[in-house]
This record gives sequence, C-alpha cells and structure tokens, in this order.
Amino acid sequence: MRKIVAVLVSVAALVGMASAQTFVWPQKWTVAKPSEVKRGGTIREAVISDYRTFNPFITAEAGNVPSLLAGPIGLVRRDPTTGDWIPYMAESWSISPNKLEITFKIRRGMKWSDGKPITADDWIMTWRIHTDKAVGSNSYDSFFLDGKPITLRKIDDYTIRFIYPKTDAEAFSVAGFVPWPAHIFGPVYQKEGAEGIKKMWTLNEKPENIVSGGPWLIESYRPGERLVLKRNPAFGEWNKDEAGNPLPYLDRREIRIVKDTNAQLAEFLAGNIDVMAPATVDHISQIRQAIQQGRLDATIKVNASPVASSQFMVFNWNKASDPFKQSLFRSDKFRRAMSHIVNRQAVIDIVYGGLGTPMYSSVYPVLTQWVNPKVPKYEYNLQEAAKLLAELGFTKKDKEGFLVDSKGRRLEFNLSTNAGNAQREQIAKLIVDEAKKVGVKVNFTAIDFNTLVGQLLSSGPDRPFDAIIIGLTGGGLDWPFGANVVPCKGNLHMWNKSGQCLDPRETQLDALYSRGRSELDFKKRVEIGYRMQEIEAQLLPVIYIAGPNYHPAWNNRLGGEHPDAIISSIWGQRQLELTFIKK
Amino acid sequence: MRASAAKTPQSQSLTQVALRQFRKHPLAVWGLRILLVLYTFALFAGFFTPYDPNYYELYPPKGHHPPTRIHFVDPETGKLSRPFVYATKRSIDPVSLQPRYEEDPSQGKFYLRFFVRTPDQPYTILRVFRSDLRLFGVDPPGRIFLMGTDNFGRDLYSRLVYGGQVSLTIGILSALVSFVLGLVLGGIAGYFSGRPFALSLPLRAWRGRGWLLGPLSWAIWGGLALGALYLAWTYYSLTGLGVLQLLAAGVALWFAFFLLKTLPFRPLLLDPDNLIMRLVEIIAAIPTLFLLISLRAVFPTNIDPLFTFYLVVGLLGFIGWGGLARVVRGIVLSVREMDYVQAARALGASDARIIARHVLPATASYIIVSLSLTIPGFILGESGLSFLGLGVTEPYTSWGLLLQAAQQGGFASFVDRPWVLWPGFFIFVSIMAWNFVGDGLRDAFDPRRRR
Amino acid sequence: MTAYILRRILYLVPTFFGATFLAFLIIQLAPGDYLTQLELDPKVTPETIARLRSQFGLDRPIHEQYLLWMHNLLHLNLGYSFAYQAPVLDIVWPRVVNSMVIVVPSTLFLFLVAIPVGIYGALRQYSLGDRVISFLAYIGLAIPNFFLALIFMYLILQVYFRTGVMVFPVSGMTSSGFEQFDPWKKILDIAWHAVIPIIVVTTSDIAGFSRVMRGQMLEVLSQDYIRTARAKGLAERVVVYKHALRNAVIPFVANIGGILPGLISGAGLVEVVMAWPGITPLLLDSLQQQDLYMVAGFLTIGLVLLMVGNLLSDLLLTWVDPRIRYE
Repeated sequence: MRKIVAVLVSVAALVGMASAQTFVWPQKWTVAKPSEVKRGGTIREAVISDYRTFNPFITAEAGNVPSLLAGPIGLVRRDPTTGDWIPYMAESWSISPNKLEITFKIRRGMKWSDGKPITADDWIMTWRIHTDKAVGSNSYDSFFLDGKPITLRKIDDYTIRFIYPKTDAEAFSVAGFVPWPAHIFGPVYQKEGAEGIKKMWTLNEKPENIVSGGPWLIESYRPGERLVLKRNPAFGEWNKDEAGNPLPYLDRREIRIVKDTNAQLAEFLAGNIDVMAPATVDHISQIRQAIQQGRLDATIKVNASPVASSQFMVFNWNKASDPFKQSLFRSDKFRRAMSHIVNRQAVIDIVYGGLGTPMYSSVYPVLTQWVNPKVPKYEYNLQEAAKLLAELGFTKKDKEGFLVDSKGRRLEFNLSTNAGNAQREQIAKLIVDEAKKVGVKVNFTAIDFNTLVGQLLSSGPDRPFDAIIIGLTGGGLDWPFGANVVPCKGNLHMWNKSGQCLDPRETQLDALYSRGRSELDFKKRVEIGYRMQEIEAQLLPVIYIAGPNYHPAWNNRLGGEHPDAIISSIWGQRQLELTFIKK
Repeated sequence: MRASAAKTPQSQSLTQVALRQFRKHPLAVWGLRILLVLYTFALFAGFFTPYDPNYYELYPPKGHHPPTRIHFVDPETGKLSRPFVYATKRSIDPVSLQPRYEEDPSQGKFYLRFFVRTPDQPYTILRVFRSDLRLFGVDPPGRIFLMGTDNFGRDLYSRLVYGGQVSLTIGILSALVSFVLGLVLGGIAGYFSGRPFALSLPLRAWRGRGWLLGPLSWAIWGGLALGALYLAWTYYSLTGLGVLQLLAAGVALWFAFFLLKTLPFRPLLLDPDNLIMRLVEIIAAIPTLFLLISLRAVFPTNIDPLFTFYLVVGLLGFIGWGGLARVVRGIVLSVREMDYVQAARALGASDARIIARHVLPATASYIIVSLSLTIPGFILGESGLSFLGLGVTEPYTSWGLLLQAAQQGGFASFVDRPWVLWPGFFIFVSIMAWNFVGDGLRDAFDPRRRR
Repeated sequence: MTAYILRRILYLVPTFFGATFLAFLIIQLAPGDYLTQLELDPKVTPETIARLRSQFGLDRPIHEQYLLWMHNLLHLNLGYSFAYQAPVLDIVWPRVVNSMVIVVPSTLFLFLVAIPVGIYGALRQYSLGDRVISFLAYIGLAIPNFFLALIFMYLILQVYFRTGVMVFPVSGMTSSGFEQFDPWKKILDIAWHAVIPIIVVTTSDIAGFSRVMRGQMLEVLSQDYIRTARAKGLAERVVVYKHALRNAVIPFVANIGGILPGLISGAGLVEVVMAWPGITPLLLDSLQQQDLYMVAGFLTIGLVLLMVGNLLSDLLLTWVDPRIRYE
C-alpha cells in the first residue's frame, strides 16, 4: 500500500504542471498496454431489471444509475490485485493514535462535470443527507456502528476527518462512500429538507441536469429499454493511464434493459451486446458452441470463481409449541446428520449443470483469503447420518419406512424455500429424496418470498417454521461475517431469534465477531475469522449447501479486461475505465 | 301405437341429429379420437408409463438423457430381433459442457418386455386401484426413455403422461367451475331481472321467521350505514375539510337517513341482475393476467401441492365466468318471455321447476359448444401461469410446467436436447383437438349450419 | 339520449369505487408489503424498515390507505410508486405508449385478417380453403405466446448464423445508437423491431376472432331478410357486404369497448420474452415487489378506459343498428 502511495506521489511530481493532481491507473489492472489502446467507441451491455431513479439518496437496487455514474469514486478504493485500500480521491490519510479518527487530504483540482471543484463540503453534505432519517436512504445504517453515529468534520476545503465511535475493521469501507455535489443538493436540502431531496433526479430529470464526479454522465434514458452514458471529460482530468491518457477510453456505454436471460443470450450471440455473465450451463453451452463454430468472436471464462453469496438450510431453534422438534433442531447430532444428508455434488451436477461450488462455512468460497481450509466438513454420507440419528434414539422404522424413536415419534420436519426460485426448489427436492433414504420424512413446500422472510425473521420463543433454504449476499472483504447474522440479537440470526444466545458457542461467536470487527490488523482478523469458522463447523447453526459459479463472457471487440488472476465475482471481468474497443 | 310407429319416419332426438352431423365433420372426429387417446393415457397413466414420474437415480446420473434408441435389428447377426435397447455411458461434452450418452453394448441387450411388474414403483389409478403392472419396460440397469429425460434424469415420457393428467383435467375442471359460476349467476341475473329481492323486512313483517330475519337485516344495514359514516369521518380526519370530504359525509348521511326512512316501512329492494352485472363489469375491468397473478399472490404458497392444483383450477375458473354469465343472462332473458314459459308459469309451476325444465335446457347446446371451446383456453392459461412460476408445483407436473422448463433452457432446449420440446407438442395437439371438437359440436347443434 | 348517458355515468360511480377497492384489497391481501424484501438485507436495521414503512404509509389500516389514495385519485393524482419514488403516471405512461406500438397494429391487423377470413369461411363453408385457413389459424392459437416468441428468436438466430443477415432483431424495441438516428430512420427502426411481436400477438387471436365472425355471418345469411334480398334479385355482392356484413359485425361493435383498456394493458408475455419495454414487464415487477400504488394506479387507468369504452360502444351500437334506441 505504501508503495503505491509513493508511486503516485512521484507521478504527480513528474506531471507537475498539470491542472489536476492525477490518479494513475496501474498497468497491472488490465491485460492491455497503453500503446495498444484505442480511444472512443461504445460498449454495449445488458441488465435484467430496469432503473428506478437517478437520485443517489433514495436509490436502493443493485447496479443503480448513481453507482454507474460514480464508478469507483470515493476517498479510498480497493486495489483489485491485492484487495487493499488505496487513496483515490484522497491523496493521503492519517490515523489518530487512538485509531478512532481518520483524516483525509483530498486531492486538489478534481471537478464535477459542471466545472465546480470537488471539495470537503461535498462529502459533508452527502453524509448529512444520507443520515437524515426523513430521506430514507439505503446507506443510512452504514453510517452507524452499534447504533452510534460515525461523524464527519470538515477541517478545511481539502481536509476531512472521519470520527468513529469505536475502532472498526470496515472504517475505510465507510469512508469510501460516493460524494455528490453539495452545490446541487445543498440548496434544495436547506430550503425544502428531505422532501425536496426526494423529488430530485427522478427518471424524468433532463440528463444535462445530472451532475457527476465519476467517469460517466447520462446521455439519454428510454424507460424499460436503454440507458446511454457518455464519458465525463472532467473525470479524465485527474484519472490517467500510465501513458498519461485521460480515462475512460470509451466514449459511450449503452446499457439495454433485457428482462429475459434468453433474450440477453440471443443478443450476445448475435454480437449485439459485448459483455455477459451467463448463469446456466445451457447459456454457456450456446456461447461455447458459437465460439467453436466460428459464429461468434468472444471469450468466456467458465468457472472463473464461485459467486459471492451463500446458500444454506437453517433449522428453527425456537419451537416452544413443539418440544420434540425444538430439542431435535437444537441437537448437534441432528444437524450434523442433516449435513451428511445434503448431497452437495448432486446439487452441483443436477441443479448447476456441473458448474458450482460446495459450501461448508459462512464465508463465501470466493473470499479465498478468509476461508479456513481446515474446518471439518460433514460431507454427504448416508451411513454416517443414519448412525448419528440412531445415537439420538431413532433406530426403528414405521411401516412407511420412516424412523421413529422409542416413544413412537416420527422423524419428520417441514422444509420450505421461496417459490419461483427453481434452483432452490430443486435443491429442496434433492434433500427430501436423500432424507427419505435414511428414513427422515421431509415435507417440502415452496413459499411466497415475503411470507418466507416473515417466518425467518419472526422472533420469540415460538416461531412458525421448521427449516428453510435461503441464501445471503453482501459479506465484505474486510470482515466477511454479517453484523446482523452472527450476534445473538442480530436480526438475521435466523436459527435462534429468542433474543439471547442459547448455546455457549453462540456466545463465543458473538464475542469473536465484535473482536474481529474492531481489530484493525488484517492478519489477526483473519485468525479470528478462522477461529469463528471452526466454531461454526462444530455448531452448524446453518447447513451450507452449494452455490453456482461466475462465468464472465465478452465479445472480443473489447480489450482491457482484468488479468486472469483477478477475474472473479468480486472484481468482475474488467475495469470499464480501462476498457477499449479494439476495432 | 306399434302400427303407427312403423309408418311414420323415425323421429330423432336432438342429440341423435347432432351426433350424425358431428360425424360429417372429419376434423372434429379426428379431434375427438385424439382426445380419447390422450384422456385414456392420462387416466391409466401408471399402466402406460414405464417409470414413476418422480423416479430418478443419482448413480449413474441420467440427466438430460436423449430418447433411448430401440433396436429391431441385431447388429451382430444383422437379422431382425425382438426389440431391445442398450445401456448407456455418460460423458461430458468438452465444448458444450452438457452430458452426452453413448450406447454401451458391453452391458448386453435389454429386451423390451410387455406387461412387466415393477414392485418398487407401484402406482394408483384415480387414487383407488393400486397396481404395479406396466405396459412395457426393460430390465434394470437398462432404461428406456421414449422421450428422453429432464435434468434430474426423470423419464420425460412418464412425466408427460402424468402431466397430461393435470393439464387435461385443469382444462375441464376450470371450465366447469367457470360454467357453474356463469350459469348460476347469469341465470339468476336473467331470470330475476326486474324482479328484485327484498333484502330487509319492514316492521309489519316481523312475524314467525321474521322475528329472526327482521332484526338481523336491520343490524346488517345499520352496520353498513355506520361503516359508511365511519369511513367518511376517517376521510375527514385524515385529509381535513374540503368539498370532497363534505360530499363523502353527505353521501354517508344520506345513506343513513335513507335507511331510517325506509327500513321500518318498506323492504329494501335489490335487483340481482344489476348487482351481478356490476360484479361482472368489475372483474372484466381488471386485466386477466394481473387479476390472476394478484389473486394467486393472496393465497399462501405453503400449501399442499394438491391444493395448489385446485387453487389454479379455481382461479382460472373464477377469471372466466363473467363473459359466460352475460351470454347466459341474455339467453335466459329471452327464454323467460317465450310463450311456453309464460304458460308454465300461468299453470303455477315453481321458479325452480321452470328453471330446471325450461330455461336450462334452452341454454344446453350453447353450453356444450362453448365448454369445448373454453377448455383449450384454460389449458393455455395453465401454461401461462406455469411460465410465471405460479402454476402447479412438484411433485405434480403439468405440460405447462414441463414447457416452462424447456423455455428456461432457452436455445439449448432446441439445440442440445430437442426432446424437451415434447410438452409443447402435446399442448398444441390437445388444443387443436379441443377446438376442432368444439367447432364440430357448434356446427352439429346449429340447424342453420348443417349440411 | 342525454338522460341515458347521464344515467349510465351515474351507474359507473359504484362500479368505479367497487373495482378500485377490489383491486386495492387484492394487492393488500397478499402477505408482506413492498419493504419485506428489504428485510433480508444484512445492512438494513429493523428500525430503518419501520421508519420507511411509516413514511410510505404502509403501517396504516387498509381503509385509511385506500381513502388517502382515493383522495389523491380524485385530485387526478394516481399516487406515488415506492420503487421509483416518482408519480405513477410518469412511470407508466411511456411504457403504455411502447406497448401500443405492438397492440394497436396487431388489433388492426386482427380485424383486417380475421374478418375477411371469417367471411370467406362462411361463404365457402367446408370448402378446402375454409379448412386450410381455419387449421392455420388454430396453429397460432395452440402455441403458447411466450413459446412462439422463443421459437421465432431461435429461427432468427439460426438464419443469422447461416447467412450473416439479421432478418429481424432478436429482441428489444430500438437498435443500438437509436438516439443518433434521424426521425424517419427512428420510425423504421421501431417498426422493424415490432414485426415479430406483432405477428406473435396477432396469430394467437386470429383463430377465435375469425371463428366468431364466421359464425355470425352464417347466422345472418340464414335470416329471412337475406333470403328476401336475394329473392329480390339483388347482386350477391350487395347482399353479402351491404346487408349481411353490417349485421354480422354488431356483436363486435358491442365489444369494442373492451378494446380500449386492451390497448393499454399491453401485449402480454411476449414483451417479457422479447425484451419489449412495454407495460407487462413493468407490472409483473410491480406486482412481485408489491409496489401498491403502481399496480392500483395502472388498474385504475384501465378501469376508466373500460368504462368509457363501454359507453362508447353502446353509443356506436345505435349507429350501426338503427333498431336500438336509448331513452
């Protein structure tokens, strides 16, 4: 990290007279050399769902327009080759001795697309609006640590200080938020407050009124159809490649909204869109066949990495109304037996067409730095499952072939997942069929997503479900454990929502979580993470199953993709700023 | 009697005439034959299929297995032989990454056998008769997949036949539901049009049963009036005072005042025709697709799959009754004024008798024809619901659900495994057949179109 | 006549309130609400969700929500979409216009094809032509729309792979770089994209429509006044087109009211499969997300159009069929 800062400073010194202090995009982020780069051209992309707003403060969906416009901007950003935080809109930072304050020196000479300078005021105003409850920003919670606010203070126009209520492993992640122009939002906010902010930058706003500090500006938007972005020249004044060329290289981004993945595939096969991440083996097969038969000049990286999400089966520990099931679900042996029942290989073969990754811990398999390779894995093994269940007293079978205990109680539970998710429904089917082989009766129903969430998040001593298959996304690189998941009072502590830890190992995990979150040393944090995974593996609070893989594909008219080593579901296939059109 | 019968030309009932007419319509006759075959297969699904529709094996995997080739010629001798199949070996295609299967003669020939018993996979017919006798099959580990397999390796032919049970019955059942609703409501609307029902009892009628019904009706109407007043008040307290609020209060007060003025002295009259036709209008006002989806969303999905099936039937039926009710109402309105009905009424026949003996028969031919033309619409409707993931659920299957799986595969379904398109073919054939039958019936029942 | 129209409009009032309330109720009856999906996000606290719920008014009882919505509606404000944080009409309208690009031509096309086919079927009943045409019409009917669209997309791609020519676009409504086209080229581009969706939508309706037309024609042709007209020695052409046809189309006129809301309710699942930016994909999303006012607002537009349409078709009937008089 130090080294990069040093390089940047020296480059800045070399440029010297340039109007802005530049950030030089390292060569190693792309496979292309600056000499082979061509400027201009349009990249054509497709997304599944339509955009809802241009307003950065009320936007909620993934891949929203404000985040497209902003691109990487923020005081700090990550280096995809190392995963480390590096200064970006800040030129440097200093951390106070008690580690609670970080002071950023903001790069000078950066400008908004309308020509106004980017200063500390922009961060302050953006933070103010995000943390106004009445605005209802999705980022609201990220500015609080255990309910206590993180505050920002302007020291001068080019110095800003972040003050944290406690030490935080994710401090930089908070500081990396995208600034928006105070001279646009400030006056409205002062005059009309939250209501005024909410009315701004709807989809009907004229594109020329949208101001961005990032690489892109809106050129046009046709609802439900296409968003066209154009290069923001102001961004290129302080973002250069190693040869000193302003970035991005491309003139334009055309993003088509194509709700149906088959239509997306058709357009990719016809050469009408340039990038795609096919999700199923069927789509991959079509692309590979077209490439092989010379109908399409494209590249596809099959199994580039697992996706950044988890998928698991969770048992409900709070079933006061059914003590038999409650004690069953709270029993280690039962949950371990259930893990032995999950045929992860069959899930990968049948559900993901052979292109998936088994999961054994709460850390997504793609976060390789964090995955503890030594945790015990309770693999598919029906004999072992039967043995564990026998130890619990389920030795006899009734006339339908299901296990019963000495009191004649049948080993049976209900399993559900969200209806409409064909892959999860198929996983459930596999579990039902495998469980039947050892004599466990699993009654599967697909439930409406909202009902399912309602059941999962209900709290108290008696909750309405037995077992649910669901997944989570959103774990970070700094600390991959969920703030709502691990702590016993967490909203997503799905297996036990009695409000308190029931198992000593839950208490341990809870404590380790807090320790890790406030540990600033990466190595020590990883050690805590390893320890947590070991405890998780013993406790098996949820039974991890398997997930699909990430398979990026692009048309070969594009250049400037990531080197193979960093193509993954976390970093994606390319930096768009370094992407160019070959012909 | 006997003597005269011999002389007069044989008189034919309407049904006989229609039947004879129907036979002159070759497409319709073909349609009927196809439907007979389809429904027979669906009824005796277990017998006609070699495997349980949900049976699959993990080892060796059989996902996306192509249709098994049946050999009639022994490759060793080159002579005709009893039909047999080979076991297959699975490999992964290096380009498409999809499974590939090659015949593996080293495991020997598996002769096609008829009337085999499969004790490990019993089935029932109509949930009553248990059996394990199947028309054909091969000895394990050989497998016969007439139409290939799905991603689990389940026999698609067996699933299609079982899916036919659902798709074909959903068509008929939904049509019946919508017809019962349409007939009853349309009939009531037409028959009682202009003869309003009394929905309250005035004080003087509080005798006998009236002691119970009278106060009850008052309570209900009073409740409604209070509800209206409460709504008006809520409206005012939510939005403040304005013209609209005054208007709302005015309407509510007028309603209460009207009740006060009317209830003790006169019965409240309501024309069922008006009410039902308003209801039809309201339902027609909401686009079908959205009504279906929103209604489907009302019902929790954590219900028995069988219930989901009935739910789909009910929903499809509920969507379709409006138009029919309108037509039935029209027919009934005109029949009601016919001389013979008036005569029956004059003779003192009860409403029930008139409806059963005179009015309903008049609508019969229209209903038979219209029924056969509505059923294919419901079969399509089921496939549309399945496309959206709102149709029947596992372990049941339907042609719509199977076609949706093919649709999800996209172009791979056309290129890598065209056999998954079979459900589309069956939907196509059954809809064509029902339409031809409906056409034939229409022409047969309509004297003007006879030849 | 005026009195009749006024009475009709008065009758529409309860229908309007009934239908809007029914639509509102059905959407509300589904479990959960717009914010339920947010609850699974590990970054969002329950307090935030509770706050948003009260901001959106989703914590009020249903009747209060309905009253507030209706209050806005009476001020010609269809409400505010949760997902888009914008007025419903602003979001819905461009999509409706896009859908009309398919629906209007395909409705016209339907009439232009189905009526002649129906007449032909009636005049040449049971001829070879009648059979072939009705068979072809049924083929369109018997393939689910969403699947037919996929078949077309597959065929287009295959042709492209073999010849390198894109006969029709595989999906979407406009080509890349559309914004830079001149107006003529823009129109042509959209028309080129619309061909396949229009075909898919039209084929599924031709069968039903032409069969009804055929039936009507047959019915009218067997009436006494046609026989009289023929006996009078009128030319067959005059009999068929002046007397019979005019009477045969009466039921269609009676149903013309239904076309009006049909025009805005979109082309159905084809829009989803072929990525047409119409109203169907938008509403499917809104329904799934339980974007309450979006769905309710859209249904209200449809409802008003249906009511207006029904009124219009009643009035049209008096023009087509002089026997009908409204007092």
